[in-house]
Amino acid sequence: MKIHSIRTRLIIGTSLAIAVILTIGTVVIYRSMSKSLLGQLDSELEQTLSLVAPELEITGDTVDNEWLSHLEDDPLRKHRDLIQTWDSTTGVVTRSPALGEMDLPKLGGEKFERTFETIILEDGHKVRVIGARIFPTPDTSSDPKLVPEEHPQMISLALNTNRVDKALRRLLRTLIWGAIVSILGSLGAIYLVTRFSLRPIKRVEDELISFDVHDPQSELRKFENVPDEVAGMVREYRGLLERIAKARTRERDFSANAAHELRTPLAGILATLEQATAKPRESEDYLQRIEETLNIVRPMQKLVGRLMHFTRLQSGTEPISMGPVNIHALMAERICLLEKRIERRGLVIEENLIDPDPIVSSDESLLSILICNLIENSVSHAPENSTIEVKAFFEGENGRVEITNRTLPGEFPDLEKIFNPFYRQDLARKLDENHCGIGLALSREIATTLGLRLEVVRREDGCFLARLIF
Amino acid sequence: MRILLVEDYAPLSKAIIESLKEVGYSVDSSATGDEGLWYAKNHTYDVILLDIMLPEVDGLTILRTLRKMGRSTPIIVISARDSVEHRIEGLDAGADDYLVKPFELKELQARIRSQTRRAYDKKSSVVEVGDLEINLGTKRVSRKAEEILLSRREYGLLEYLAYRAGEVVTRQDIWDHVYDYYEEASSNAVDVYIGYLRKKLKGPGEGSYIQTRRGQGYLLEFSEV
Repeated sequence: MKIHSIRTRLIIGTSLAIAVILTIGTVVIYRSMSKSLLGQLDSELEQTLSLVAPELEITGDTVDNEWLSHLEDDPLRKHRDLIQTWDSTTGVVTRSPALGEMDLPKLGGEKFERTFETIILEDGHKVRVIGARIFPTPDTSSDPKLVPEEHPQMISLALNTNRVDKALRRLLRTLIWGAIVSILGSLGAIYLVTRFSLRPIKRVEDELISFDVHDPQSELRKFENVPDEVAGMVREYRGLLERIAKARTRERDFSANAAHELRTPLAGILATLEQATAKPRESEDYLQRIEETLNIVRPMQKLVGRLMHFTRLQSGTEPISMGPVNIHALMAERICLLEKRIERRGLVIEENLIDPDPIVSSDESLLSILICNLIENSVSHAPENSTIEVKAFFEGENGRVEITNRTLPGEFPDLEKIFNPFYRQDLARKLDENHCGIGLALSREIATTLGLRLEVVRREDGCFLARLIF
Repeated sequence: MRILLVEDYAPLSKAIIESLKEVGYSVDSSATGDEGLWYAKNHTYDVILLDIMLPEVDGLTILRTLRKMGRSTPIIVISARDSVEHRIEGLDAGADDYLVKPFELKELQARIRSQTRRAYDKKSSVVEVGDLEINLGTKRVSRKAEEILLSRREYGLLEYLAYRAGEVVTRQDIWDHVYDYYEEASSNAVDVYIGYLRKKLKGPGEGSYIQTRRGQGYLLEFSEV
């Protein structure tokens, strides 16, 4: 079973670990207590054995079990002490009264070696038995030549383990309940701690869920008190979402602006043709309306062409053919094509062609579009009757093209966004039928495709400089 | 009825103006936002047609400014911005309608009529005064099922009176709603056109449909005398 929740994993994992530790602890404590209590019992048995053993006395040829007469005299011991002896010479077995007809196991090996065993008597009582091989004490007053080694005795003494068993059962109960309570307590504590600890992650999650990348108004809150463990992830994720949102906004703006640039002339065509066919007209009137329609279609054709280039460049399907290109010739040709507009606006083009014939290796067709766009942009935005400076030169091995124009007071584009397709500084736009807003975006794409660097700079004197570095 | 068109795309603007004038509207037009705002602030219009992306001042700013000033003139936004967000933005800024480019001129005219009916609280597009029937939708006028042919100016005047049927309409009201900014009519131009209309509407031996209230103005109401 796969568990995906960190909280559940923490709770289950930690609880299991605590349960295992407590179980091992319980077993260790129980076993050591059990060993200790049995040790005490064994020690008592040994003491009793050391008291009883001297009470086996050799008198003449017989072994006298004096301990038996002592038991008879003590009613408490008579009903409690479990003692049994075996005379290895005669085979006589002697039992304490408390044993009755029951037998204790015959334990013991070499002399003085004590052997312990826990057994269950025939009456069902559990007892701890100590057994040993001993030699009786010689009564030297009756016969000084008595040899104890000739009368080996086996003796077994037993003590009821009830007291120890009861204590161990109580201990076991206490340990088990203690473990259960500890596990449950730990479980609760872990649950609360994990819940509290994971709260910031939940907050981050809620915030991320509420953020709509499709909604340009949606904003990501600055996350505070984010745990160190997830701070990096949150930062990265936040950055990612912001990048997606920006991309979505750019995409949305691109679609809206492209739609505007195409829909408005389309509306013009539709309205002009609808009006032309609204009623019968003179042929002159029809011709004039057709001419008006063509005047709408031509800039549209140019815009569609640029959009096609832009799309092909973005998708990497624009064919590229590299070869030597004379920048001077290219710029002169482009300026010639814009001559009418330049004259209409009273602009002066100051050509500063430092190198005689700067030749670069590039795609002539794309480079021509790029340079044309840059010059056209300057012609569109330069104030009327101002000067546009055009420079082409080599700096080291790098060819450079620089186009500089003045700007109207207070008017300066946002350099960060200037390369966005259809970018406008505000919702309002200028009356310029030749400016559709795709030129610089297309120029940037061409520059990227051809491996060139295109920069725009706001100079200190208020001029706008577009620089192309080969 | 008098319309203000604020649209910077000249070919579209030209076609719209022509089509609206052909059906009897007076049209003022502007290609920039600031000029459009000036027209809207200083003149009375029955409907304003407003583009959003305009030079100098954008359409949304114009909308908000007019609404802030308390102007309740119906405003139809004509824009290429077609997303739901843009439409909501336009309507929330105070537009009464939103028409996405490209559109058919007939639809634009229908929306203008719809806004005008709403502004003058007319549920039907047919106004009946005695035997006279003025169809504001088809722009046709008939009496006893017989069509009366009117000039563009005559129809414009009658249409305005029809929208305000039952009310006394001053000369200034007629001037504000029937003539555009560049028309230099003489002081009695309204009286002259009222006279033309009376003649065309009145059948032989019948009563009058346009009544004069001395010192007040004119009233579209049938009278036997």
